Amino acid sequence: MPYPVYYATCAEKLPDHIANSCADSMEHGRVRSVALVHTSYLDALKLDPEDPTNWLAGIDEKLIIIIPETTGTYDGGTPVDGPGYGDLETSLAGYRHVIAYKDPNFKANCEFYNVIKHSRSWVPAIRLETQTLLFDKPAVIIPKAPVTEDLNADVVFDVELRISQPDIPCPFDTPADIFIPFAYV
Amino acid sequence: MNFLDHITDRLNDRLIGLFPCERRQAFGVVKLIRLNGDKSAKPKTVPGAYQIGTKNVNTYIIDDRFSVNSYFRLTSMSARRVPGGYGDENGRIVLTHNIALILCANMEDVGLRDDEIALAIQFGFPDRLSPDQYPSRDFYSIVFNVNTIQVAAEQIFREEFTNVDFFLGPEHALLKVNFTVESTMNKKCFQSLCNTEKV
Repeated sequence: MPYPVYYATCAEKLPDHIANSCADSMEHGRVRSVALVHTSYLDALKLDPEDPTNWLAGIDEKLIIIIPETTGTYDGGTPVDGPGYGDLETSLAGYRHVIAYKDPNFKANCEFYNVIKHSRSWVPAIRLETQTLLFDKPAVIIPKAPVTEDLNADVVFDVELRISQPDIPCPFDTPADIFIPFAYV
Repeated sequence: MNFLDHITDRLNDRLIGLFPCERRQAFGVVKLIRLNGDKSAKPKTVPGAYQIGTKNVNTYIIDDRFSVNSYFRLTSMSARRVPGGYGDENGRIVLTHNIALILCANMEDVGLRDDEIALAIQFGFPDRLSPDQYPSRDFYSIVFNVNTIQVAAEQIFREEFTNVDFFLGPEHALLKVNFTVESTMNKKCFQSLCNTEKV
């Protein structure tokens, strides 16, 4: 009597791939704004991240911090390899994501960055041209403020956010009037 | 206050320090104005300023009763973008104003020859304004550079005054200092084109 062979198959729910050659389907670069969302508010925000009222409620409760004007990069995620089985040499275990941004408001935010760098409770979101990416896991926040010899160079906060999560964050339309700087007074 | 008036006021303060003569006449920015005057004579072109509102024209003839006369003339302005910026800002704007400072000095009164006056201006000219001297909060930097200093008095006189007899004596030095003002600014922060008062 042959031994029974157990087959385990995973049902794939693969969405359709969309191809669009129109120019307005392109998104352009620079991490233009950063938001830090407290882990206690993340689920509420994820219910509808395109709705500005969700954001405003979090901002009012100081569970969302908006840094409206930044310049920076997101590395897209560095893959973390896991063990492979069968014919696969390795498997994809997850990603390490790094966001590096510059905050030009150096003079006023030393205390802010000195306190928040100890916290593990803030999940980042980054605004691109028209889209926003909201991560799932909290970041390690590493600020520094380098000074160069150039008289004309800005002294800014150079901040690195490191996140470990398995998925690449998916873009959604940036909610209106959330990432604007306060009125110039 | 007009941006160029603000700049020339700061420069005039520096020039007063360089040439602390009692009899001193220092003007801001002027332009060359054609005076038609008497029909029998050729029209003259002289430095002057048109007053918006009153529509008066003030002319600035070099007055040899003063030990030092000076005025500024804007010759051109250009702009370029530099990479960088924050948020949606597509780089910062750098404005370059090309300005000529025309200075006439009585060498006896100031105690310097024309080449020595040129050196004094070259070394005494400020490199940049400090942030507390900016006209408003919209500026990241304001930097000066002296490019050339002309000391040929008759040539400068002919460039500034047309159909005016050369009346300066050998005791007068007439110099033209060509310099640039490079201002790096945040266009978005400007409240209004007409208002550059500090908030």
